[in-house]
Amino acid sequence: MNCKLGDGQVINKQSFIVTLLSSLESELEIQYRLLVAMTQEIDAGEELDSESFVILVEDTITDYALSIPKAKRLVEKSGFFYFDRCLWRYNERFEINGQKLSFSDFKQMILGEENEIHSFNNDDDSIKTSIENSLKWCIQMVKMAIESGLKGLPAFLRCEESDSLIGNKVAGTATPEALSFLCRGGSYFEKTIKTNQEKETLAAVFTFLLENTLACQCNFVGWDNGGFYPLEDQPEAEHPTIDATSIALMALCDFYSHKSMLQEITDNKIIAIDEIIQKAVIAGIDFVVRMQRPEGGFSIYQYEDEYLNGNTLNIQRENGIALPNDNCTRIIISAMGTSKGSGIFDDIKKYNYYDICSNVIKRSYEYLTNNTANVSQGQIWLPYFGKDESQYDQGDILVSSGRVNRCFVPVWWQMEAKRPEIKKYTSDFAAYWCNVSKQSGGRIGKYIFRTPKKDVYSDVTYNWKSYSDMIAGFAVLQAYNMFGIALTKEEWKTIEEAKNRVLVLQHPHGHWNLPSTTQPFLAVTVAAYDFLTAYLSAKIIE
Amino acid sequence: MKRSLQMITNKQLIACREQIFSYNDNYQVPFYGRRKSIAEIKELNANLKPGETIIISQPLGTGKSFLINHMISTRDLNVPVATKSLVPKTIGKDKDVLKSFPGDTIVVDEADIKTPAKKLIEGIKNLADYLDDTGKKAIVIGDYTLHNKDISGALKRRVVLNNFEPIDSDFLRGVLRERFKKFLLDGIDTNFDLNSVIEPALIEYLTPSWMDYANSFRGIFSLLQKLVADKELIKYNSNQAYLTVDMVREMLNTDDNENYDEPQKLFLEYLKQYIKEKYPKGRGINNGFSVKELFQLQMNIDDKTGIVEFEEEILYPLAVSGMLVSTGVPGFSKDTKEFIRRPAPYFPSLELMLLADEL
Repeated sequence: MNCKLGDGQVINKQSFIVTLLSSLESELEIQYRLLVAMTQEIDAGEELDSESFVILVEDTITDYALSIPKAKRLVEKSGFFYFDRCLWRYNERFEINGQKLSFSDFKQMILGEENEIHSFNNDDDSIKTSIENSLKWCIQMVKMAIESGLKGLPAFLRCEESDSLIGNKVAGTATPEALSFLCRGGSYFEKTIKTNQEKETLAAVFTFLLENTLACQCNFVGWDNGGFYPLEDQPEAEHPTIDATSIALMALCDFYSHKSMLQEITDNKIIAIDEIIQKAVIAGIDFVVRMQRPEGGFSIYQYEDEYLNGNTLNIQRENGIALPNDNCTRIIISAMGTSKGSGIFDDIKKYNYYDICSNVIKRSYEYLTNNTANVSQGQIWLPYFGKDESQYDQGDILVSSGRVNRCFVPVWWQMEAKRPEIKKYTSDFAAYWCNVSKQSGGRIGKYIFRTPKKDVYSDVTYNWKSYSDMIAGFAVLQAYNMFGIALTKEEWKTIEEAKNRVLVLQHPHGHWNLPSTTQPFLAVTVAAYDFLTAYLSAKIIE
Repeated sequence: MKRSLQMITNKQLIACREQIFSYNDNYQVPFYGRRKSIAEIKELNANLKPGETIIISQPLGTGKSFLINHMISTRDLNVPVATKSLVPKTIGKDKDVLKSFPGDTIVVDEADIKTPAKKLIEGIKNLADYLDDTGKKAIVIGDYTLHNKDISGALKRRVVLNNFEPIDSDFLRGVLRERFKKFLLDGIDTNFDLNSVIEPALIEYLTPSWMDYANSFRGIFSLLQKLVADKELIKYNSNQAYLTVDMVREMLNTDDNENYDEPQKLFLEYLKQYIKEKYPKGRGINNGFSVKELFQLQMNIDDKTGIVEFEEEILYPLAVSGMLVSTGVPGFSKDTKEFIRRPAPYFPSLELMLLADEL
């Protein structure tokens, strides 16, 4: 594995490791882990005084009885850091083969060592391999769920020598997410699925995901009919939710529109009945229409007597819980766009559903554009349509605004007059992302929400974390690929850096983990896939 | 999915091990017990005057944050549901974050040795000033560090929570029963018998009475997670799952000893022998070990090691790695403005006790 330094010098992993000097293998690992942790800390702008160092050692080396004097010796021995004037500092005079190694080069090198699979030799082929590995991993997880007798994919996965599933309960968003994801792998499957057994396995995977996505739909007559339950993703949910419904609708429509190709690849072995999918999608859209607020936005759910005249949730509404949010509003636009493009409405001659979906898109888009926040780069979206940028974590802003910016494709096709506006929004966001990344790239953002219990929203707050690189990177590249926005040199640099960080984070098994954990996570893997695919498309355009 | 009402298989236990034996907030686990603590906190809170603080000072990993978050979610505290606690590190950096905390009672968590002393003191000072200025109240959650006046002294009007139920066998059984019910039995209140999955002797070993106030869920559950993850001991099959003391011992014995330096290994071996002879099954270790007592043992192994070196190179690392449990109040050096970390008295960890007991 080679690491390219800023001045073009290339050193390999071996020569890098040798510089660490420890002769004992166990010490080498400890030394390496300490260097990684110290680099991350200093990179995050934290001051590393002697006590912070002690805490870092305690947090980093949990499986070895390491004394602090020894930890200091190991770090000092490497030569990369030294303790001076009460602080640990990076040794800017450190040289490899006579060349000074800047902190930024060192950071790239040391953080890039974490997983064997990633290297900085990330040419197009290795990005393609990375993408294919993520699809293979997803197939593997679904096969495991089938073998375990589950009725879908669970929310949590575990990464050991080989990955496995945690728990025995099904997540209502992971299952359709996997279905959508695998529908995107058509050309890869065309290339790799050859034998009868491979065809049967792939068909079983699609049949399983389709069947269990459909099983998450609410079939009770009434207000919730047609919505999809999140199940273990939000254990407290007692109603279908907007996020689960949107993801399921997109999965069913993705499958419907890719069905011919997938059936061809698998010799028609996937068990899928068109009428059932069509009916489910129509019912899902009807549910979405009931969930839309009079002003046009969406929140996680809308109780039947919640709005406008209802008073059940007055207090929660005052606290902002029941208000529309950016994530639900944007995901509906994507779901309605995918539904329109699936061909279902034509097949069943329900042409009025084009208008129904278009109306939802139009009103949602209007709601979004009426609730932007002004920043120095232009207009973006803050979590829960906040107005003051300084009140939010920049990682949260990036994922919030990035998600909104990725939903504009259906609007682009539906409302031509809005195209200049869309180009402006996405350009503003690209500039904002670039500016934030200059200070510190690779931020983690979160989406916080509560789920609908029987009569009120849950006490438990759900806190979903994402890598802003993936979300923002995809949004910007999509705008470049589809809307033709121009990107500055600095913005390309931000994209390149984000791509490097994303590749670095992939595990050798093919998945990406939930941020700040070692747990494989499907949604993060899909986000990485989307970003890297958009990156490859952009390079062709470029 | 159709499942037997009572029998838990190895496969099921392996699949759910992180959830059943969870010791952080990665999974939503059911709350159980702590009735006395809840009653006392409610009472303290009801009588809390402007500017006063409730201090909850207990070892790491014992469920303090879980308790307070549970009380917030059940509206037993006048803190808006789902409000995220503040931490001293953030308050120290920017005291304005206190203004954004909703309601009259501010909840501050992680006031413990995981935060550098300087930052902890700064954070607590900013909190104290804010309480004085606004007349608001606070609940501060941390480890024994909060007993140290150099750290928490800025909070002038403190009331300390006295009731915090120790982790005894009944408590552990209750917690485990609820978790098995939630994660493996579809929440159905069956005739599930915990003894059919975990040997009663193992529960007793995990909750020795002499360790009541030093034991932690983190310690117990990390051990059980590790056991269920051991592929040699728990095979991935449909046999009935049954965790025993012998299995834990086997696991600990096959653990490679690479995690300790030679002097640490020698000391541990000696300590095991000492515990077995002097405190069989831990009986009599009521006050824990002093540094002096442990240093005497070291002198029998190697009389050239000085006490400072012994504390730095052997005691502290063993306490951090979890072989010894430090239960002293962390001191604070006014010279260096840093904690004196992991002080005596020390108790043997559950692992150490299990290993010592089989000698």
